[in-house]
Amino acid sequence: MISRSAEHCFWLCRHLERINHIARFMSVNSSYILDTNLDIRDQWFPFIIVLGEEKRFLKVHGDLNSVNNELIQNYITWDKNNPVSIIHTVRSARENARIIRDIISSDLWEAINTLWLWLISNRSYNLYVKDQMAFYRIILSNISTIYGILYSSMSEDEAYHFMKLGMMLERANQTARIVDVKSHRISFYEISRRENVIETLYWLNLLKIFSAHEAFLKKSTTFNRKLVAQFLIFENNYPHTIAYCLDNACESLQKLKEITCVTNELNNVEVLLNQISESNIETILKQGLNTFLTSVINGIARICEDIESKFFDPELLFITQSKGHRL
Amino acid sequence: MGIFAQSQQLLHGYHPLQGVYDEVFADTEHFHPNIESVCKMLTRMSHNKFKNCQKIANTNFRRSGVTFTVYSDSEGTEKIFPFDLIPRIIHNQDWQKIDLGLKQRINALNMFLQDIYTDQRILKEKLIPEILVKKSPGYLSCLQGFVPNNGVFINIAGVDLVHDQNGEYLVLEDNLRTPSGVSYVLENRFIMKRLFPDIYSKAHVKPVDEYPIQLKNQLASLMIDKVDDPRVVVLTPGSYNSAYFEHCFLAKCMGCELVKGQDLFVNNDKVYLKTTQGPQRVDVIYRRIDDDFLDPDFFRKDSMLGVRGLMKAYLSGHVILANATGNGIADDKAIYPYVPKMINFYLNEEPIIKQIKTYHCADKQDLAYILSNMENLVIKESSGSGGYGMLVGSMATKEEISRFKALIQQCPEKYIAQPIIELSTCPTFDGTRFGPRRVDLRPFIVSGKQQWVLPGGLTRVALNEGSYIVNSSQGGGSKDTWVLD
Repeated sequence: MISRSAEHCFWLCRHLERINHIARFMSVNSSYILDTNLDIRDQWFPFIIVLGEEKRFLKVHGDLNSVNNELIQNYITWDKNNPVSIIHTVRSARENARIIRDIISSDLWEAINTLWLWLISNRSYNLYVKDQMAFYRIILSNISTIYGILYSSMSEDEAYHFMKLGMMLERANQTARIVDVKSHRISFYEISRRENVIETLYWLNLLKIFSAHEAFLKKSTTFNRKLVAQFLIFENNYPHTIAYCLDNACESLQKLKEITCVTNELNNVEVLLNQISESNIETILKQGLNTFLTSVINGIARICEDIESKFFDPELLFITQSKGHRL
Repeated sequence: MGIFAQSQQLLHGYHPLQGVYDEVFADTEHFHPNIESVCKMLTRMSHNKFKNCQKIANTNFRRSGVTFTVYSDSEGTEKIFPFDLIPRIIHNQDWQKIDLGLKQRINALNMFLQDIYTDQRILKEKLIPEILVKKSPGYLSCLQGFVPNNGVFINIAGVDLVHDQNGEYLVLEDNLRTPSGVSYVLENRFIMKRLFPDIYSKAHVKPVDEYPIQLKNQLASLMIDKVDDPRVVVLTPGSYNSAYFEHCFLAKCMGCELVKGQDLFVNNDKVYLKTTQGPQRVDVIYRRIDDDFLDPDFFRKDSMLGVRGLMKAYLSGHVILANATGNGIADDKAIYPYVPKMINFYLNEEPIIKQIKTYHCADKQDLAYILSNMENLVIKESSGSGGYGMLVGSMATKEEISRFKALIQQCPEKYIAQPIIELSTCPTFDGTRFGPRRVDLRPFIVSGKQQWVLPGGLTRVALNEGSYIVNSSQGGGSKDTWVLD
């Protein structure tokens, strides 16, 4: 397929994955903070950090506003200048889909366009003001529809694998970032039962962000930092964990290497995956959970750069390696 | 008044205009006899049903993004091309004449282009003033001497036709460079089939869905002698172009890749596509980019949309461009009056479809007539399009007429004039009631080794009451066109 189109496929799914994460976080967090009495600075601002928007937000809105929860929620959902706001990301996803309309199925295009048209209509903002949970739920429902169509109406060809690659890498990225930020802020001593309850709720909430609480409960009824982190990093059959995502990314990359003429130099996803599977939670906690997660985040960023240069920007040198096609 | 009261429920109270041909009504009480049965079926529908169907159509277009972008609007907003559900109906007999007439016209125009870019016999015979050709911005002297494969310059043509007050079809103008609108034809037909399946099947309308396949086959046929499985691509300026939806739509329906200039490169005068599987040879390019922007090495240096070296590849016969470069001379409005002569000269035939009388401001006699008859004429720029830069004399104010007179006198060779044709009308819904609105017709003709005419085409309608301007950017909409089998 056309290299430029491959890039659009890759980015389309990165954007869809971001929308999913943000909407999910927003809806889970609202109900969570009602059950706790977290310090006000810990209620919403941490998510700004997860999104990498700390600097810009503080610059534009000032330090005092880091406790202005309404403003933060608005910034994350509606701010057109915030490159990772929901409205900005939905617009980017829709633009990408529009550019590759010729490749994706019409059903997929229509589903993405429907989300966009709804978001820019008055109804969506009115709903946001009246019933925020319902607002995010509609977004999540739309994304589920989009993913459903993607998995059921596309051949598992090049375009599909580039999409899956983008989706999985972005998902691993988001998981790592959220766990990283969320594990910075908790103190781990258990002095009284009350604090125990808070800790349990805290980790339960973290799992809910990935809809993983039910899957986790099947394995353990104790919610603590070690077990939850272990689940979210290593559990290789739950779709939101780091291991699962990297494994799937590897699979798609392998398929792409077979189809395209990219050489076998591109193996750093495998490398990162091996690093993880050869480790365990005890070692990671000793070395520092945050250190580990930072290295995962950086690793994924390097993988994405590599993909960009190898697949999306083919050099003219390729003319000598055309795999026997008529020249 | 009997038939009127019952079966005409939908168009009850509709008044066709005096002295104007209406597409549905032969007079206030009767439908045109040759399309009567279909009209009866359509008008049996109730007002409410019609309004609901109209709503469904609009939702459908919005959801599937059948839109175009208007740039005069500072945001560059996407608008739906308004669609009216009452189709324009043409009987098969009438269509046969149009079909033959269009093929004849395009054939002659093609031979004209071959001639102009080789021996120029028609100029030597003094049938067309040489100066009109030499001074036309559409004539590209740098292409003199080159004829593309199989001699076909015009692969896709959109010829605008009007139905005059006497019920005769006349050619209004030719579009031989990058004619657009066919995607609306296909999308409109899709929605009509969905909303009125019963009426549609009983009416026996000629299908239009094979257009993209016919187009692809004809384009591929141009290289089939040289190459086993010619690769055809659609070249788009990109998603910011107002017709991007159409480029995508056609590429998809044709089963071709949609490419931008940056996806292609030229090596050894051959064109390649940058794919993830390495470079792939390209044989035919259906280009929706104007000549000027095609190749920064040959035309405009500042073009970011084109492909370096493309013209060299084209001129060495390794790639076909559809349409060929340099077609502008054939659809130049200053050349338009001479097309009947071309049909005589190249084909030894009389034109099957006539055209509108045209006066040249550059001709002294014509100019005198024009200046003293401005209120009865339409003045157009020779190289204008989109309905801009024109004056409809009967609707203009005194100031507008004076202003145009001055413009003409400053630059006479830039303008032509035509008598005001009473465009036919077709019943159109304005939200409350049905009224007569002016329509024109743009059929599409595809030429490769053979010619194929799309049955019907795009009927454009001027939605504003009293307006003659049907262009999408200025208050126009569209209707489906039904050619009965």
